[in-house]
Parts: sequence; C-alpha cells; structure tokens
Amino acid sequence: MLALGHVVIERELARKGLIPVLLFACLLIWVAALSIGGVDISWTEVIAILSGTEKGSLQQTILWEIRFPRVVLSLIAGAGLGVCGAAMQAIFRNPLADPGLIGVSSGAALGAVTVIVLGNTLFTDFTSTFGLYAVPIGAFLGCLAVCNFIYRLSGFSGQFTVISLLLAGIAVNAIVGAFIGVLTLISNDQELRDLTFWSMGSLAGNHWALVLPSLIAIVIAIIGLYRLSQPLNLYLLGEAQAKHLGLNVNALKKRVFILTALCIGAAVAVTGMIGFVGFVVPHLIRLIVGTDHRYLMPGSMLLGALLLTASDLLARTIILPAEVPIGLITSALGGPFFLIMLMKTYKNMAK
Amino acid sequence: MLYNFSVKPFILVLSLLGLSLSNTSNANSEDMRIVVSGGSITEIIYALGEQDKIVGVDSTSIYPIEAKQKAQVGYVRRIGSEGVLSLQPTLLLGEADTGPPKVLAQLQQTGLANYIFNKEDNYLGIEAKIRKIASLLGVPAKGERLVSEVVRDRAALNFVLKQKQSSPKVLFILSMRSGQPIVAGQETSANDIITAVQATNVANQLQGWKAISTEAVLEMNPDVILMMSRHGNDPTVNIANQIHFKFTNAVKNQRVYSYDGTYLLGMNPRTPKAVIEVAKQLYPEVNLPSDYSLAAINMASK
Repeated sequence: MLALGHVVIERELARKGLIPVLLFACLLIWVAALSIGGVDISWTEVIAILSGTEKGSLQQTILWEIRFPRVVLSLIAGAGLGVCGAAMQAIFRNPLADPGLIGVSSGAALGAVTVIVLGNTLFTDFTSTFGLYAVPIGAFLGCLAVCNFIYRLSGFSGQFTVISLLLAGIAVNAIVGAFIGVLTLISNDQELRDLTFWSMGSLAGNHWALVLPSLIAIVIAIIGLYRLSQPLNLYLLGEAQAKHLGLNVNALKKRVFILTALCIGAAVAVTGMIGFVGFVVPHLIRLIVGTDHRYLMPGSMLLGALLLTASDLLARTIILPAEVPIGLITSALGGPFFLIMLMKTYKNMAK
Repeated sequence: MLYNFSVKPFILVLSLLGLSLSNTSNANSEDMRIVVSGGSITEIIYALGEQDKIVGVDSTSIYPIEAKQKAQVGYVRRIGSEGVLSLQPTLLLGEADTGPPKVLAQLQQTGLANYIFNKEDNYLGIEAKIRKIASLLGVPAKGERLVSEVVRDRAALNFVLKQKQSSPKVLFILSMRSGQPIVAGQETSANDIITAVQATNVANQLQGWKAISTEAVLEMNPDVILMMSRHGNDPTVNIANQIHFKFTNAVKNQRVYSYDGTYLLGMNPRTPKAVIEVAKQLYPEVNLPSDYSLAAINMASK
C-alpha cells in the first residue's frame, strides 16, 4: 500500500518499543503543559495542587479551572484526530485521505458559521439560549447533518463503495463551501472576525462543563475505532479478499464512517478547525511500525495526543500574554516536519 | 452589573478624615493592576494620567503610542485567559466586544474583578464612560476635569453648527477592499459622527459596514467623502483616481478628507475634537468660538 512502509528500523523492535516511548512522552508533555504557562507553576506545586494539599491560591484556580481541562482536551482531541486519520486512510486505502473527505470539517464549519452569523436573527435567541454552548452545538449538528447527507448519498445505489463515498464527499464539500461563502458575504465585521478565528482553531477558554460532553463522545469513538483494528487489517488486503475471509466490508466502512463523524464532530465543536494532525500523525507512525492497525491505531492515538498538546503549549506561551491560534502551529510545525520525514525515507530507499 | 467595588466610599471616608490619611488611600489605589481590552478605555486612562495602573493592553490600544509598550494580551475579541492572569491584574476593564465569551467567563470564574462596557457606549456616551472609568480607578475628580473638557468641546460644536448654512451629503468609506468601498450605514460609529455634525449620510439605507459597488457610489453622488487612513497613508489621492469616484461632487470639488481611525471613530476623549474638525471641513463658512482653539489639537490626520 505504501512506499513509505519500507524503513530501516527493525520493525519488531519498533513495534514493541513505540507504545511505551510514546506513553512516557505523553506523560512528560502532560506535566510540562500543566506547569508551563502565563503563570508559572513549578512541578512541585503542580503535584501539591493535584494532591489537594494546596488550596485557594491563584495557582490552584488556574491549574484546575483553566489548564487542566485544556490539557485533557488537547490530549483526548489529539488522540481522536490521530485515530480518525488512521481509520480514514485505511478505509480509502489512500495515504492522502483525511477526515475532511467525509464532510466533517466543512459540516462543522457550516454549523459554526451559521450560528455565528444567524444565531441571533434567523434562529431567534439560539445564541442567547445556549450561551457558550451555541457554537459547539451548531458545529456538532452541522457536522452530523453533512456527514449524514454524504453517508446517504454514497449508499444510494445500495452499495457503499469507496468511490461513491469519495465522489459524494467532494461534491457535498463544494456545495457546503458555497453555503459558507454566502454566510460569510452577509456577515458583519465582527462576525467575520469570529469566524476567521474559529477556522484557525483554539483550545482556549474551555472549562470542564464545556469539554466533558465532547470528551465522552471522543473516548467512545476512539475505543470503537481501536476495536476495528483487526478487521481493518483484513480490509487492507482488498475488498474482495476481505469478503472471502468473512468480513462484512460494508458494515465496516459504515462503522468507521459513523465513529469518525462522531469523534471529529465532537472535537471540532469545542476546538474549531485544527488541520494536519489527522493527516500527518498516521503517516509518521506508519513509517515506524508499518501498516498493522493493531500498532498503527494506538500509535496514532498517542502521537496525536502528544502533537496536539505540544502545539497547544506553544500556542499559548509563544507570544505571552497573547495567544496564537493552534491551527497555525499544527500546520506551521507539522508541515515541514512531515516533509523532512518524507525526504529521509526516500533517501534511505534510494540507498 | 458585573463589578462591585468598595474602594470608592472608602476613599471618600478617608478624604474626609484628612490629607495625611488620604495619602494612604492613594497608596492603596496605586496597587491597582489593570488589564485593558479596548483602545478607547486605554486612551481614557492615559488622559486621566493613571496609566501607571495599566499592566496590560489589547492590540487595539494604539493611542497614545506609549500604550504599545505595555504587555500585549492579544486582540480585543481574542484575549487569552492565562495571559491576562499572568499579569496578576486586580481589575479587567473591557469594551463591549471583549472576548471570546468563554475566555471572559473563565476569567470571571477565577474571581477577577472586571467591568465590561455595554454596546450602548457611543458618541453621546463618552462622558459617562469617562466618569465610570474614573470612579473605578478611584479618581472621580480627575474624571470630572476630563469630562468638563469634553463638555467644552460639545459646546463649541453646537456653536459651530448654529452657523452652518448647508447640509451636505456625506459618504464615509472605511476602506477599499480590492477596489470595492466598504461604507458606513446605519448603526455604525461613523454614522454617529455624521449625525453629530448634522449632515446626511448618503448610505443610510444600509445597516452596518457594507461593501457596495462602485457604481452605487456614483448614484449616491456624495458632496463630501470622509475616509479612514491608516499609518499615515493618504487614501484620498487613490480615491480621486478611481474612475467611479471621479464624477462625484466630492472629488470634483476636492472635498475628500481622511482621518485617523482611532482619532475619529475611537469614541474616546479626542473624538469630540475630531468631530469639530469634521464640522469645520464640512462647513467652511463657520467660525469657532473666540475662546476656543483647535490649534492645541493633535491633528491625527496628518
């Protein structure tokens, strides 16, 4: 499937070592992300606060109310983006596939933009009724609606083929793009600013009540996708072969579709657009462990969490006391990093 | 009201007790650490001479120029919660559009004292805004002094407007986005200014800031075009060369004027002076009161 799959590292060793190494790195970045920020909280203080011995200080409020939910969100959303990317690339059997293909990103954007622009006019009081939840709810519903539409379109002929899914996805994405364009046109200056920022993503300002529903949905989707590792391995042999091996290929595709929509929808709803993580993470893991989904899935999960948390750490500290939208960081760092990895791989292959 | 501050009566009591004690109260209010999100608030605090209390500003706080030296907390609609808290503020003062809402909610949850102005602060609300800020800072007397200046400006404006003999049609252009002018309709700060000088906004059938076709400009045929300049660029030359503007009365009679955005539209203590300047340009026939001079005014359009 992938020319990238040939690597010099001893595969068996890599497979065994990768997960513990990534887990340890995640743990490190978790502590680092909790301790570094606008207000410095030392490691010892972090431990003191987490164990409940320090109470009532500003540091405690910041850690519990601001940083902790944010770091948990970045870990889990990152894991979700990574896993969904791996699952999508498997279903399309194409390394260029990205969750955006099934309409998650455009759908969420349409929902969010609709709420931002029409929240108080067309849908009377939607924004004032749901308050802070208005945009996330809009994004989530938009995502589900557009995904559902693509799902039905691609299953229209009775078969749920990759090609029908791909074509329906491209067509619907174009249509949704036009709707977003219309809404952008009628938006005023402030709404335009809001929606530009939304499309660049941010993990800021999320407290527990806001992130919890999303976290639950993402965790459910991650577990669901992880359990599909073995069937996905069979699927990679080719649809016909997988069928002969007793796999219900259509059911598998549908399941991956639904879980991905749920996962990305829930993540994007609270974070806004975060590009590149779902695309680059599975690639990097595949370079190391190959295409076996039993390793690729957990690897993508951990690296996704690691990458998003590290990016968010940068986003909120790089120009203190202001913040950079995280989407910029993931793309600006992820892009070149990915290119270097590709170059190295090709160089090694040429030898 | 989000803000509940008890220092004001405290200061009042102390000042009644005598001078020596009120010095302690000064020391107390000097401990204030304010983060400002919104250029006009920053400007008012500078005009009050209380700028030492500011520990951080947003990116719209660009006047006076020294304000840019303060720690930056980001764009007014996009401030960061940890960034603000890292400055250890005792008070957050924000314009109505301070946000994002969830960051603001988070900051309020941490117990940070804050006051967010509502949307109604416009050209007529400048005095109220000054008074509010002065009282929050515990310097009501300084506030009154600044307000009296604004009141004087408004009196001068009335004096000027009484003499006017024409009522020109005005078009306010915010910017030319790829050749398409963005103009001020109803419910914009620029419309407030045009109304204040008793002129007619030719774009008053529009709501808010809208991009219009250049042909529509021809049909509106404004007598005067007001523009916003940025960084000292003079956009008036540009406009005069645009084919569709060439045939408007404004360009034919060379009545295209540009103003610095924060000066004219900032709704800050300088705005009433800017409005008088606009009135002077719209009605060349009028005179200023004899005891009033525009000379002292910072000509921000230059």
